[in-house]
Amino acid sequence: MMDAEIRDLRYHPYDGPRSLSSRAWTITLAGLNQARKSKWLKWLAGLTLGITSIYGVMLYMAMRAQDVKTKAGLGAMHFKHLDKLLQADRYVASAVIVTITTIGFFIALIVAGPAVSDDLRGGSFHFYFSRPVTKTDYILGKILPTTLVIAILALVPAILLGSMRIAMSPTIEPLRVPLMTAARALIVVAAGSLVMGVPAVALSALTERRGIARILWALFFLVVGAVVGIVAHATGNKQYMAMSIDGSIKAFSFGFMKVKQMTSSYWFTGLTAMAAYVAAGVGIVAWRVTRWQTKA
Amino acid sequence: MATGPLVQTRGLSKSYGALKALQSVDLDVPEGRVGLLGPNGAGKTTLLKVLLGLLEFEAGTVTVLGQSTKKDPRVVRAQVGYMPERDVYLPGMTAVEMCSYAGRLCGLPPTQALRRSHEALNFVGLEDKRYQLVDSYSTGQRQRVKLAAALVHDPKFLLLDEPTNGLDPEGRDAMLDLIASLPDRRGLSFVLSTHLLPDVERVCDHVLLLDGGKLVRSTTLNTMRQGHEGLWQVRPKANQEEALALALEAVACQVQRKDRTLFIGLPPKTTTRLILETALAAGLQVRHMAPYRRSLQDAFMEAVGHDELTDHVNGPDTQVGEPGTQVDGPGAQVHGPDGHVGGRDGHVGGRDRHVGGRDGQPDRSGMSGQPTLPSQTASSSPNVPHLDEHGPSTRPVTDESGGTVALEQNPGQGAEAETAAGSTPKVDSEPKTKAPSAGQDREHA
Repeated sequence: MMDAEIRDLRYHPYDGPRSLSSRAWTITLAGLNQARKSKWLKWLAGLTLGITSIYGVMLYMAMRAQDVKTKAGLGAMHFKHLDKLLQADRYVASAVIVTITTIGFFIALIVAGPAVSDDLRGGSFHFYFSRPVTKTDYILGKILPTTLVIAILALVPAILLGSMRIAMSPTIEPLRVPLMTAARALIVVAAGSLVMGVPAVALSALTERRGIARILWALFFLVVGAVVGIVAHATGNKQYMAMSIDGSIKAFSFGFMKVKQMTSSYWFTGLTAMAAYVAAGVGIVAWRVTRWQTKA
Repeated sequence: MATGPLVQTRGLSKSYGALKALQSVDLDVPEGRVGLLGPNGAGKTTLLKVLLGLLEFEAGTVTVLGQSTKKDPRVVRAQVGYMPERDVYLPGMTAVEMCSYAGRLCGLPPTQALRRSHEALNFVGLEDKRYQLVDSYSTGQRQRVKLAAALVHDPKFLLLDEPTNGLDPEGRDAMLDLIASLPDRRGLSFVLSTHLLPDVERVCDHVLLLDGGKLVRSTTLNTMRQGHEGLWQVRPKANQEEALALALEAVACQVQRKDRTLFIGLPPKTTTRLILETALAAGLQVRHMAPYRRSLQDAFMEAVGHDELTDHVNGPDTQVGEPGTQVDGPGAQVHGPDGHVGGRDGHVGGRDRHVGGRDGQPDRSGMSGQPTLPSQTASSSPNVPHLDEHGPSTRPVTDESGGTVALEQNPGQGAEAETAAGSTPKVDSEPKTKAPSAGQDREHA
């Protein structure tokens, strides 16, 4: 026999606790709950696992080869290019960066597209701000779901490959090195997720239609990337490549994880560009809220 | 419940650039059913937003439930429910999810928020549709969800901004019934902001009149309707208005003519018998006579504009509004058959979609554009017509020869009562005001 609850739906006065703490996490949870309903996220999660597997195989092969090379007593001088290929951290960093910039792009498209535009369309600003929700709560609550979903998926390669890196670390290598790699990978995940998430949320604050918000994000991501690529190619200055969204993440991540790559020496430019994207994104969302609050 | 006024403002001023939305508003909102009335652009929504701490204001103080909105608006908002004017929904959320989310945003634990959202949706009559996406709801259902979301955290005080916007007649009735029942069923007070006079007349006990950003009047509905005791509204046969007016002035009545209607102030210690006898003596026919009961519409006109009737009949000393309030708004008008309050520029304040306007909703509260006439009833004795406002409307009539004085009921309102000449037409000379309908406590459960 099933247990059933008899629910009394009459009005009952509420005398329980009322928390006045920040509502940012409540809004974030609601955003995550909405994102969870998207079937596309499951596909992207599968894709992330695929990318991680591929890089896992490459990392395994690189570390085995490095082990063989060390045991054979071969010096770095004779295998300059091979050394570069056998650099284990490269695969950890690349897996994380590819996940963030590729999977993150699509996550931002799905999750961030409707983040604020739906609120504009549904008049939800009234819903939020007539309750004990501050502007900061709202902005954080809208930015965090996209950032967290990107970060959660990017953590898959960071944690799996970072652990693999530590586990397969050669006995002659100090443990500090692979631990630092794993820690840096986590920081890259956090920073990269923020940079991929915030501008997408900001663009959704510019329109009431989630479709247009998604188009704006795709155009912004691709067009800015293409423009800086062309400028870098035309001027021969690779620093420009560290100014696009994905370029800034790559430059910062490779530089921060001390992996030699084309733009890794411009990691500070990348970091500056990342900060600029996040600041501009937060500013746009804040402007949208302020505009609503002050209009007649 | 808090003691003292729920809301208190002193010298509250708010501008949007050159536009002064609120000008030095001193306001005390008592507990109970309060109507915030004013034409479009009067500052109602701005006032509500200021009360919620959503808008900064230039000058003055605002306290809601004893808390300053400037100091920490979040504390105020946690205790106040707000049902905004415009459509509000969260795409992709069911009604339960939306209400539960509203509760959690107001600081309720998740389990309590979910439980109370079921209760609130049951209260507004959406218990069967609570798991549907709000996106798919009709306008009326969305209005109900808004109300449920405003109630879910058990506020002490509710602000309702145009809650009947966009509703069909049935939906409007149901929404007003729900609102009217709030104090009894949930023990909370509310402020109903609207430009629809019938809505306020139907559910409110206290009225705040805003016009041009100024508080024109703050009083009870009954008080507002008073002010013309002893005034009678008489309509003679066509083209006899002037003659009847002269005849009545000759017997010391104060007479004001408006179109075909005469508004008559009786001399002390006389009754309406004087009017009828004067008409009879002059060979004039009275086709309609009723005690002049001021409707909210008339009261609003009087409060926001110039009222010739008051000046003429009651004399120039008649006070409009309360001491210290400023009557503003040249040309303020009350328009149309739908009871919408017009703006200062003569613009009809109602929107096309408002019920009670073009869609032909029956005007249940007497706000029909014409001054509302209290109904009258014949007494139990067919030979002694007795005017009483609680019964069907009657028309005292003299026949062509002047030999008969009759009280003829309005079409469709029952049988005719008639009295022969020479009998005593007994009428009440003191019109009574009827208490506003407070709505019915309809259980939707």
